[in-house]
Amino acid sequence: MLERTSSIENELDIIAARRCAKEIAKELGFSTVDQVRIATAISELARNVVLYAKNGSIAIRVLCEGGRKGLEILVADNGPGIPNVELAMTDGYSTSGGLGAGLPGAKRLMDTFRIDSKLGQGTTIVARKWKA
Amino acid sequence: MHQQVPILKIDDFWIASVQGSLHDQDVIEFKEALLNKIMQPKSRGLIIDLTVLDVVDSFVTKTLIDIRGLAGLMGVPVVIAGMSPAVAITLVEMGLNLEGVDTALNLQKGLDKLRNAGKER
Amino acid sequence: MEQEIVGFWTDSRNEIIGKCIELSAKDAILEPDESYRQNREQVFEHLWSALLQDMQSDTMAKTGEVVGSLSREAVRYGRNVEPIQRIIEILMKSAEEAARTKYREDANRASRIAGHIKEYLDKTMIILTKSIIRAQAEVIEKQKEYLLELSTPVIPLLDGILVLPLIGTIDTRRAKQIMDNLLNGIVEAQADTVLIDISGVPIVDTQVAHHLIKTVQAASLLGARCIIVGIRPEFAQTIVKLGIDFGSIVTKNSLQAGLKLALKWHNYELRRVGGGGPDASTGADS
Ligand SMILES: Nc1ncnc2c1ncn2[C@@H]1O[C@H](COP(=O)(O)OP(=O)(O)OP(=O)(O)O)[C@@H](O)[C@H]1O
Ligand SMILES: [Mg+2]
Repeated sequence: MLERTSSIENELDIIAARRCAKEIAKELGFSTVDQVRIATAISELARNVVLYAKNGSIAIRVLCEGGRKGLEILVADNGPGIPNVELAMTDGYSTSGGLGAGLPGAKRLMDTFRIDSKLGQGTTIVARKWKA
Repeated sequence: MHQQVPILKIDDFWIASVQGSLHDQDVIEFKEALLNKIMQPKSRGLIIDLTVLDVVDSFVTKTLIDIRGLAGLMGVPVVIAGMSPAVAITLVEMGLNLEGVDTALNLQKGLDKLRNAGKER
Repeated sequence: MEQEIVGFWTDSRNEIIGKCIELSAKDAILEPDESYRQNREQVFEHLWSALLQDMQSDTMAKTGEVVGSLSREAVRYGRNVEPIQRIIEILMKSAEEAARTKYREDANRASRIAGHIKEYLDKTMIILTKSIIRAQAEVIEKQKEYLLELSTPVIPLLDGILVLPLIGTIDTRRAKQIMDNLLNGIVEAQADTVLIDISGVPIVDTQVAHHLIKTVQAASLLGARCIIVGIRPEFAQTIVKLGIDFGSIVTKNSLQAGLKLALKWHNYELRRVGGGGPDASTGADS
């Protein structure tokens, strides 16, 4: 199973991660729109890591289940964690003067989205997109 | 790695063509540069051409909205041109519809739009 | 699974496969069939070894894979699926015969093994049936996709004006397809205005309204303006009742009214040249 992991520390890593995911998605035969959806979701999640946790990692994995192909992104950090996940997932909620569209937007762009966050320990997000 | 966005001038209109992928610092510098340009007297409009930009996320969207807001305060209309279908679909799904921002299919149409807007005023 | 059947299955490999080849050579269904003539032995071996693995692990996973891929292939290329059924039957028949020969002296044991084989035959047949159904569903799904695309044409009317007539129910999948088609159509035609005719959509509920709004928003991000036409009174009521904000979306009750507005936006004027109705229009198109 194909998997690529890289660390996220700065803005250049964000671009590298989304470019990498886009390439894999293209190879898997995802549509142009899906490629952009995936790249955008990664951009949001990776930026949150840089912004709120300073550094973390992203893993991009190819999924193959019963003939279906998909792509999984796993973004993890050991940052401060999110005090109220439900609130953070609400459109427009931001503690940094952003649009507050990153988390809820990324969730809508992907097929499945799971977020685990513990105060003082960090945040892990696993999101999947299946080929239509 | 550093990417400058060329900002050109046609008549009294500013045209900025965003290339490839910008990282956050580029975006911030781009915003500063644009605002400096349109502050010049006789600026009649600004077109931001996104034809070749591959990903527009919430950060870039916020920047575009900010630019429009600040330009608006200076009485300079802004048109976003050349967004690709995939980017448009992604933005709408994210709930970012750039409400109130003027758009055009391509540079030429953007320019026409600004010229017409000028005439009406 | 019981050791007995696993042991028998492993030990009698050559007898079973040999018998399979013998039986299939004179089989009324398999022999005239082109599809498995070349690699028949290989197919039997695959199936045999899949069953062995499944007997050892007491699942049907491996067999499911092999049978699944055989039926997918057959269905996809529009081939008969009967030969696959025959292959399974022959394998089991060969196995049973091999068991009866091997345990000639031990009738009890022979029938125990035959019982196991029968069990596996049943399970495999169920898998086959299920895989065929699934494979057919996949094919139908694919065909549906083509139909979807056909059923949402984007019609260029005159320069810069497109018409998108929506007909039939709109679910999320179709809505996505429509959005995709429309946006690409807009870019292709460099269209400034789109008339979305929803008079052919039987039910316009919140879902559909939501999709419509998204479509209009996406088109507007590209720089194209939409006019939604053909809104029936019930739909207007739905919008109001549900408090959906159609905000800045332009609507007209008929395609004609929408077209007039679009023409106005494009600085066209609709006017008759010469007098009278269609009969008198000879000079109109020159
Ligand atoms: N990895 C993280 N670690 C800690 N807090 C986080 C993390 N990701 C998100 N948050 C918190 O959740 C809030 C919402 O995140 P979201 O990405 O939706 O919006 P934003 O980053 O504030 O703005 P935008 O993404 O629209 O620019 C953030 O403001 C931040 O407080
Ligand atoms: Mg964010």
